[in-house]
Amino acid sequence: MANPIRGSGGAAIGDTHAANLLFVLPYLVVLIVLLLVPLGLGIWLSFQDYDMLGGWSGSVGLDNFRNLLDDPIFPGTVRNTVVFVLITTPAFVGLGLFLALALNDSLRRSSVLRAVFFGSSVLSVTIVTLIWRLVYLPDRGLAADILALVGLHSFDPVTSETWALPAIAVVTVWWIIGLPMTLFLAALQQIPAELYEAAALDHASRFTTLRSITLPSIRRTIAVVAVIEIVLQFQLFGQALLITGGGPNNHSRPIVQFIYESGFRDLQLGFAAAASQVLFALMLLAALGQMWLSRRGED
Amino acid sequence: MTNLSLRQVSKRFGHVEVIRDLSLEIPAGEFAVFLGPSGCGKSTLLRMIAGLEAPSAGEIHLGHMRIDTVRPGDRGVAMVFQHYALYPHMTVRQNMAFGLRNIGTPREEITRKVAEAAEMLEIAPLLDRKPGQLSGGQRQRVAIGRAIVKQPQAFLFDEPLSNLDAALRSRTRIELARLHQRMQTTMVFVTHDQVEAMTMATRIVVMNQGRIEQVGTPMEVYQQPRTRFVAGFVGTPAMNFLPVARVEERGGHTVVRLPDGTEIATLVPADRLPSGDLTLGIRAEHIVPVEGAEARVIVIERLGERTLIYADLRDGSTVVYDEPGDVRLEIGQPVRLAFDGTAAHLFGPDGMTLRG
Repeated sequence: MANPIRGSGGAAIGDTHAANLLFVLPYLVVLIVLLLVPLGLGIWLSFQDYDMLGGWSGSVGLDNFRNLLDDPIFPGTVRNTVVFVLITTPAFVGLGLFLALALNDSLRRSSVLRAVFFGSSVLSVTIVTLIWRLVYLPDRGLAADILALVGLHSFDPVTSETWALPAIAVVTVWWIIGLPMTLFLAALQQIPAELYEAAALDHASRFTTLRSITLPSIRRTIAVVAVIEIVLQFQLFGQALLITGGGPNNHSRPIVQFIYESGFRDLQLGFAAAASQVLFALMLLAALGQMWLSRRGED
Repeated sequence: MTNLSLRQVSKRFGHVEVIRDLSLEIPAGEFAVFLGPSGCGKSTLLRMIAGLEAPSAGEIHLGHMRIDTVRPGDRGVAMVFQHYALYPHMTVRQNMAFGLRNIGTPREEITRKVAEAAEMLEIAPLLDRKPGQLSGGQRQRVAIGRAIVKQPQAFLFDEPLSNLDAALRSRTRIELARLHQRMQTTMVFVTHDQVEAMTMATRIVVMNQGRIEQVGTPMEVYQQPRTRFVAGFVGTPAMNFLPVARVEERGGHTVVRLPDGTEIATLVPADRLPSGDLTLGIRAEHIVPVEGAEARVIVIERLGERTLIYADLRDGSTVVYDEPGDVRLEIGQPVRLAFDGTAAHLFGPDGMTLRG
């Protein structure tokens, strides 16, 4: 080795030293034990006939996946989950950006509102769903009151095949809109004020400034928020379980609930693991697709 | 060709008054430089002309139009920012065309104007690059190009050379001066660097603490500073200031005595001198190392073509004077210094220059 630079302690930059491994060991252990092993185990499980009561009864190849296709409920949960992601992700990006633009100033009113909008993010899913069960109460809930104000009949979205999933989407957006808003606020504050001043001297209208200065400057954050939300919203579970229980007639049952019920109610671990792999693949594809889209926009 | 006129302009930020009742006429076609230390209000003044800050009181007129009440884009001014403020996601061409597109200029005209400006500034090969792919000097040219294509009635420059290295800065100074000669447009340039002010300005506006200390051509400001502040701020090295006592009147002029006993005959009329402490101001080039006050060399600064010698007088006060570049002197060496009283200035206790 050609003279590595030596520090005062004798350790060399660029020199491999067994003791250096100690510094990354804690992280490596967590990564391997809590992430890589379960991931590998899950993939292996998805090709096995593994019952929590009966135990392991051998490899079944792709049978679990074939059974998923033929399952009367699973394809519907995939559809529900994809629809849910398609509703919520644009809402998180659009509404989060709107709130950030509206509250990006140093007024006291804005800082109070920022705290208010972020506040709901700290609530647990049980509290959030409890609040919204009350809001959705037919005849007496807030939603019914608002509908009555505009002269519409009250109805219960929770028991409607059409409205159950959108109702859960509304709950979800209300619950965690704070994170995208905060990410967008951070990005907006990175834009140099001089750019806006130059735009003002360049006769740019508010709309032109938004389109030509603001949005291009935060393009990366928009992509990040979209990917984060795609990954998060594919994992919809608690809200659906607690508000509709997946009903009515499976119209709001997400994939994770299906996995939970197959694995921990029906105790078919191999089958549940196969469904998990489908979810994993969907999330990966969607996230990659989003990244490809945003990169193509940059060129 | 449009003149710029500031009438009793004030600016307050909360309780802090940064510009106080300031009036100034900048004739059409002039290259005016606002010169002053950080925080003197010169950038705020420029930003008020640009429309990026609103005056708390007063009026700003450009030609026959009052502009302090209209939006920045409608004022007929173009600004070059300290950090250039180029739009990072747009190409050089798009950066330069943005302002023209926003006012609905026909496409062919935009193309022509951008091409002309790019030609003039020698940035034509860079038109399809983005600002991130340019050097500091190239960005600077693009920022100037973006201002030129708008054909404004006045150019505003906010310390545009401060991010360039020394060599590039002096080259850009020359280019800006040439640009001004070619375009003959009113230009307002803000800087804290007195070399930039001296080399480019038609007139320098020296500012301090929100007020104008002096307005004059570079040589007026250098040779006849109106206040002690101007005398100390303009010129390198800074003017020597020494406390003096008035001793007598000779032929109607004042003779003063330095703390070490040296007497200097000035050209300042002896009548109407204020009471109180006086300060003598004398530039390095007006102190000559011949018979005179005793001093001892403490620092030698070699600049190449000349050498600055810092020497302590007998009473301990330090003065700086000029020697040729190749002078042979050593630290600690005794010298004798003569002060050219005819070129010296006298300042009263209020900091004003005393003259006849």
